[in-house]
Amino acid sequence: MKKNKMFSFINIFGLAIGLAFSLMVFAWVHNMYSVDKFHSNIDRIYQVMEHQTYSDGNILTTRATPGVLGPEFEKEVPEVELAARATWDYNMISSTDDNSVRQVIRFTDPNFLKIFSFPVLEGFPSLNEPNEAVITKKAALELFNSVNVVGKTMTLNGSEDYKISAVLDLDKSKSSIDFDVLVPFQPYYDHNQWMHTWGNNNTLCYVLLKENVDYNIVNSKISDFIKKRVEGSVVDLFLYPFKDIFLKGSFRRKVEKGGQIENLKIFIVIAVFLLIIACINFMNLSTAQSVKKAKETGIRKVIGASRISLIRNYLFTTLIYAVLAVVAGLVLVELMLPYFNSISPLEVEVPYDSLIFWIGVVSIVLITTLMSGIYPAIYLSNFKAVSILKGKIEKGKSALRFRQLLVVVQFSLSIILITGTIFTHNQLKYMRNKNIGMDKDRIIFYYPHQSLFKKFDSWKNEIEKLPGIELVTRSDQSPIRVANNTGDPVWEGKNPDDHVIFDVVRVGEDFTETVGIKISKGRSWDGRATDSLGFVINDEAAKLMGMKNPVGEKLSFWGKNGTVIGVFEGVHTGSLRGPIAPTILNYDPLNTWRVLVKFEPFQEEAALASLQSLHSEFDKVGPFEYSFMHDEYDNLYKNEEIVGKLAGVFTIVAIIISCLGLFGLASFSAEQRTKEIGIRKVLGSSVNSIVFSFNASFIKLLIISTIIAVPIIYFILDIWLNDFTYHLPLKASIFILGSISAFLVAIITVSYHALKAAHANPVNALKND
Amino acid sequence: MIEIKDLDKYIDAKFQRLFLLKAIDLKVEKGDFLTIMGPSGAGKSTLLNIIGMLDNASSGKYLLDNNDIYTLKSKKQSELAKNYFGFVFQAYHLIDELTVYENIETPLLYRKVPGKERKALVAEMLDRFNMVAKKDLFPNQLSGGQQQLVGVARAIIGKPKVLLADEPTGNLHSKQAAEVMNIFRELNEEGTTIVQVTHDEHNASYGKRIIELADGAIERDYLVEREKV
Repeated sequence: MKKNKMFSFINIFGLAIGLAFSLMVFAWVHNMYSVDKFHSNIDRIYQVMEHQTYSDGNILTTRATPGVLGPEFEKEVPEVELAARATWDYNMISSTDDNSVRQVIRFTDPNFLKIFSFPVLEGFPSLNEPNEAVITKKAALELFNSVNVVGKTMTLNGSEDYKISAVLDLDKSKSSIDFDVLVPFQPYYDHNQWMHTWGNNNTLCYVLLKENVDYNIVNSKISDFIKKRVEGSVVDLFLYPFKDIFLKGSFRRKVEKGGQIENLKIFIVIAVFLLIIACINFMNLSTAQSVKKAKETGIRKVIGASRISLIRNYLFTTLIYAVLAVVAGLVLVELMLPYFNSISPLEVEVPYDSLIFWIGVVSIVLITTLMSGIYPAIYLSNFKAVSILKGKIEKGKSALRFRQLLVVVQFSLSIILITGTIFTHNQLKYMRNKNIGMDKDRIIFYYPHQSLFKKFDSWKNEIEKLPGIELVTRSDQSPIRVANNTGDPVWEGKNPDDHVIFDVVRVGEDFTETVGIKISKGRSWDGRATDSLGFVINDEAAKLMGMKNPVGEKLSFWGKNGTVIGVFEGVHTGSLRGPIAPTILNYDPLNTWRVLVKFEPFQEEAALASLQSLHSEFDKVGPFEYSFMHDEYDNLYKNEEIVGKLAGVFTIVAIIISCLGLFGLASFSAEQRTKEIGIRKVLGSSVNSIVFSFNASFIKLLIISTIIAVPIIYFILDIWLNDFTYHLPLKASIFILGSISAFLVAIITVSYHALKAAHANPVNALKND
Repeated sequence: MIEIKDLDKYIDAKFQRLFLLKAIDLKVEKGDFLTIMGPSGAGKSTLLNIIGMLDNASSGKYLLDNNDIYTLKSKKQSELAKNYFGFVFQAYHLIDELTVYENIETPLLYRKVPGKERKALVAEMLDRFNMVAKKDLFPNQLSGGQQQLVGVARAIIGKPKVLLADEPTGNLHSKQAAEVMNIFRELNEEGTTIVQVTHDEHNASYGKRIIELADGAIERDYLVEREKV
């Protein structure tokens, strides 16, 4: 009876853990799929996107479009009902008389509010007035400590005043468009002349198509919309369904690739793995127990129970177990969600009010019941009553085979998960620790008020004298996340039909020295009068331009006719996922708005103190803000980190469930073999040899699992690594480590029972006959 | 060979001490054929298990060829047990998953006997018990008598100095029982010391000496009168 309680506990608990984690994944998937779906026109909203095809074979896909596109689109394309332009999310300081915070600002057309349906809490948003602002509830609370803010005034970046017309209710976890404050697009557009050309892609554009319009037909019409207006353009325009943008809206070579959907797929697979492992436990323990139930079944049969009624009876018991497990699972989910949410940025909550969710839960219960109940039910009911009562059923070879098969499946899955987790962990570590050709561990990004740039030279002189600071420089963007590219550069011998692009970073004085880029040929800028006409390029750019001896070659773009003065190699200006992009460093101090500070080794505290001491001189309103380059670099792999962490958690859970099952099976097997072990002891067997023989039967299964699992995980990792230009080799040691970990865990689990059985007094085992 | 002095075996229950064996003094000489008799619950099997070192006494002394067993380390104990004793059980206790051949071979594996020698020894046993044809069968394919013959073969293949048998014929009908008992007598004549537990006076008559247990104590200890056989 006590044994049965343990079995029931392992059965329900194992299934509950498996269900809990699968439920969390499904809740998360549900949340992810519900992103953006609250817009009432969701099926008619499209994002305008571009494929840019370059002559070196490079294809870029981007959401950035020319600022002039929106209104032109509305005029020229009859299927378009509304078009709205919006900027990217800008980080700005919002302030009132007595408060200032950093918020996410977007400049948008009035149509933005007509196309999308963000719920309005207060006021009437229009964005028709030049100084109108629409704020979210959360941002209003942050800034004003109140939601009744319609009519109040706020200031952006300490310069422009805006009057709030409305408060929106934006749930950021449900929207792919992030903002705290919306302000009108037109004044911003009028102010920035560079947005007015067809050749400059910088604005987001959303359209609402008329009812019953097939967007594929529209796409065939608008593909050359920009090519018609700009000679030699590389842009093919297309509409992409907005409802898919969050999950699938990333492209590689014109094909959907990457995006959240890939994470979802990984975790759906892991969740299914978990569920399978948990169900296998259930089946395993149930068939194992069926031997005990055999007598009961036999008696029932003799009394006259029909096979169907036995199956029904058994399935019903299983169903009750499954329901208990789901309830326990839901409780577990509630207990674990806070942790789950703390390691992932996705605010997962269980959608108790969603019908789909409950349909999912009920299907999980039913599938689990069928998967884990049907085999034991049929197996049990198939016993011949006579042979059961004679006690012959214990030989059940086929049931043993089946259990062994299940254990193999279970451990194959565990080995796959363990190996995968170890490898992704190592790859992440490798990417973070790789020498990227810059001193990323000694650089602080400092975010001062723009007014500092007016007196940058004197600030630089002053700050470099302060303790802890070695060098400072400025640039227009982060050197580890270069996002600005252009096809404009012209050099001697360039084929005019060639369209190739280069990453461009505008930099200030001492840039290469500060970030630690080593010049391999030529020189860097060194204060000569001709510096402003010099370009420093990387090896990849030189190759792309076909320059054998790049130093001294002419290069011109953006109105600057200059020469290449230096070349550098091996500097990663982006994630290690991709190859190093051809990059040009353009000396242009006046067009920079980022400050990079190199501190003396181990002096970051002193350097920060020095920065802060001069901060308020230039920045009265803004808080003292900075970040470390190595943190920003690590953030490049945020996604991999989250996936890695979660996969780690799931792997541990999978191992726990597998071990629970193995523990149950080992205890069953120990019980079955009590007599045999007793005999062997009487015949002179040592404890060790009993433990060994006990493990041997499981080790055989583990070896088979390894043989099955290793090729599968090799294949999976090989595909995964395709996404990384720079990655670790798939060494045998990873697979050995993964398998051995599974082995150890299994052997420890099994040995507990083996030792217990081996130490038992054989007299007791042989007594009752 | 076996010398037991003032041996007790008891279980401590909540309010009292339950004696299974009390103040046992027993000597078994080499070549003896001893039968332990007595009603159910008298402590026959307990005594046999203690002699066979499957179980320990609660107090008292056990000398096995002058080895004071209870002062020895457990490793040394099991070493002695392995070399001195072979067991035959009422319920045969064969290993269901192994064939007749493998069952007989098992004790040799634990004695680390080399493969060739093992083969020869098992073959000799199979021959002796006329079971060559049945060597590849599993225990449940044999009759009870045949199973017990396998049990006996297994018990003696390691050439134990003492053969311990707990109701060896309890599950057998008389013809099979006689066969087993004749083998016992043969073995005894070849020099194996035998201690058996039985209810059956006829079986006891195969032996040389009988002790009768009652309530955990030896009541009588006498030699078998040969002419009765």
